[in-house]
Amino acid sequence: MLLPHWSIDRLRRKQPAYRHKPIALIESTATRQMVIGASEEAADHAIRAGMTLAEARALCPDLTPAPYEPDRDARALEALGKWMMRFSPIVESRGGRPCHLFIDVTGCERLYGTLQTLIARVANALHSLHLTTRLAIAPTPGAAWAIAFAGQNHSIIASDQLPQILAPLSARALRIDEELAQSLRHLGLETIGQLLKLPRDLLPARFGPQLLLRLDQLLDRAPEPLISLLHEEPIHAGMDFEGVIESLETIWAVFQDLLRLIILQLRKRGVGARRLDARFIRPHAQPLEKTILLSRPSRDANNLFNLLRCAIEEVQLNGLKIQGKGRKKRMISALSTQHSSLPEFSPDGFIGLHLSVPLFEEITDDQIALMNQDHHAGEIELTHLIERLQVRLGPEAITCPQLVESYIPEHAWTGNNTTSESPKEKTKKPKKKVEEEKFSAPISRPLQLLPMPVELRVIVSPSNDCEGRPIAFNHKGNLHHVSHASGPERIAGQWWDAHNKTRDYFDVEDPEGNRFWMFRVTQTGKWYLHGMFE
Amino acid sequence: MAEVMQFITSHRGRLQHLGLSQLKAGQGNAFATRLPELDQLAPLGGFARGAVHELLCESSHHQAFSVALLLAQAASTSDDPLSTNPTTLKLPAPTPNLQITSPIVWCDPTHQLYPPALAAAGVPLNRLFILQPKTPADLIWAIAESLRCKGVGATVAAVSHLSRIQARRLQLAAESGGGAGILLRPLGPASTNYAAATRWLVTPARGTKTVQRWNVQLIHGHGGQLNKTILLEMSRETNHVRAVAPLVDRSASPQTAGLSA
Repeated sequence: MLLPHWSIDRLRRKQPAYRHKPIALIESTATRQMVIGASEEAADHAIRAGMTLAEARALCPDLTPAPYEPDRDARALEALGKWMMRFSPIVESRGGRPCHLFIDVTGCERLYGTLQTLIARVANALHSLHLTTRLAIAPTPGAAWAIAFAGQNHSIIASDQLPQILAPLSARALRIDEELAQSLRHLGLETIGQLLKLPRDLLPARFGPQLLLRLDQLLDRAPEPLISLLHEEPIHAGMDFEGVIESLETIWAVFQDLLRLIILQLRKRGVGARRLDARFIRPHAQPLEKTILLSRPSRDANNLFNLLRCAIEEVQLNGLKIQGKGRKKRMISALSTQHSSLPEFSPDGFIGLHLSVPLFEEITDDQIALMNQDHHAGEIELTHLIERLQVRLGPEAITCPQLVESYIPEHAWTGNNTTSESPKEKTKKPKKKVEEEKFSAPISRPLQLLPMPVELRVIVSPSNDCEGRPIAFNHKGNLHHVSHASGPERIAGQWWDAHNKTRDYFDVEDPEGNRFWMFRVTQTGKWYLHGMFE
Repeated sequence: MAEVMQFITSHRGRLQHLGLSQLKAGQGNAFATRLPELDQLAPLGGFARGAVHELLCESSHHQAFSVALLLAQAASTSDDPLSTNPTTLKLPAPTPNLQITSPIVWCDPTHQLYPPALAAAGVPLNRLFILQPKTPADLIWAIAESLRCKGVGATVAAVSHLSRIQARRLQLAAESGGGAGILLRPLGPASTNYAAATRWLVTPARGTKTVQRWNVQLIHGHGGQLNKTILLEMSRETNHVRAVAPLVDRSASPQTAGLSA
């Protein structure tokens, strides 16, 4: 199975905007941008590999350049190979251009009837993925590659016809180096048939071992074992019940059992779960799904169970499933009455529970430094806590603040989401921390800042230019006299952010000792309460 | 009677040590604010870890954020002045740079906490986590979870009403976690249920332009100096906090003065 336009097909699958447009793959070498490959539409404009981007643009003005990413291509090809495992358990995906996959279909034709139906199915499947492919079935991988390369799509070759069919094909179909192909052409050896007529022992002496090996592999004289991609079974455990299960205790017991199975599978592979999907199958209703994201791979039964419990509680709080026994029920009873009128409300119980781990990462048993054991244990507990909180409260409810360099008080920080960053990603961020050290917050800021400044009615000391100091103000219906006010601290707006108002901040204390942080907008003369020093 | 009082006061430390189950020898189970006047009011001359401390305010719209921050900072520092031996209370000389190690979790459902001010007070922001639960039930749950976590040094939250069970649950969570819980509550009928180790009344006091003051009084705490008020002073310019004992209040409550003498 040959994928002549794999890189472009991959891009087009990812970005529909690229479809039906001439595309050129560009690689920048030094200052030049070279065309590595071109789509069929671009090839119609005579754009070939080896041109510069400027030349290609001259030939076709609406050419879309796209980066050439061989690593991603290889990774995507491997994913495609895994997907192709539905046709045969042995799939080899090796790099090289043009991209190709070898699928060992020996014996598989029985499952599909004939090889024709098999090849038609593969072709259909690949067509639905919008991939340009050339398929060929032959007794050896080399022969299949040669035939697909020669452009005979969907051909099936039996072993007795092999020499006749291969003889007229170009020598390039042998999977040989460009250099070797050039030297063969210089000698007038254009086809495989011509090469086969040459004496065997002359070939390695003249052209090196590669050519003879390829020829032998082509005709099944030398073995070419396929190195199959590893088949990864999904990590999954589930239990279906005979009747509807309502009791929370049973559900928890089942989850504990399922988790044990999952952890067994995880341990076998030496990995830890990064994502856990739970499916609650309900009678006469859509199954409920709950996803738990972990910030670091884990296969700790207690931790996973706690996270699951949080997830179940949230399912209950959503009112979709309202039952339970003992303390939990009392806890949620207040909420359940509010939600019982929901149209989605399903009577009760589940008929099946399934757990799967779609995302996992390698886990190493950390060697904990002996001296710092307590600290390390605390850190792990903390990440578990954050995961639990995120599962129940939602990822946006827990933030880790960071300073931002801004003089506008409310813009001087951002809440960073602590969502599942792997430890690797965390180490990548030293830049921001440096900025944080450089920019320290001013000292005279209140601990409590109102999300929206509240307008105040303020009596100001008489002055002729609206610059008076506050004497008394009215807040929440109470009159506060100002015993002393320090300020103003003038903060000008960031005009480039459409913040063109200038504020004069005062630090104000009333006779009781309450301290307020208020400002006057100089342009309008209005007063606002912005925070409290408490 | 006077002899009994004399005995109790002279043996206070040992009696409390037997009485308070959470103070186990050899473990850092208490923290001090490094303000001797404030620490002396507390039972055993320090604040217990693995316990809930409540800061009460008279008015509903005032919350003792600064005092809470002071306690949270003290609770999250790793070196314990009381860790060597809880019965002998020798405070080391106050060090100006407190190294915060364990994280602080601050529950802020109303989105009013201003982290740059915390940063200015010396809290490293990467050790601060802000929780914004949406419902009161979630708030209580989140506080309990955070208290139960061994990695968290201090959990700060403003809670008005707590049922008896909820208050007890929070205290138990703090005991199992080992961090300090600092609850900001209004003084009044809403805060009649409590299970805290200490309760403090924080009221604003008249300050000057550059100094902000609060009166701090211990109103519950076994073995602490109840009803004695001290004055906390925070400099507006340096964020430096110091505690002083006001003379006026001592004369106003002669019984307490007699007891502590």
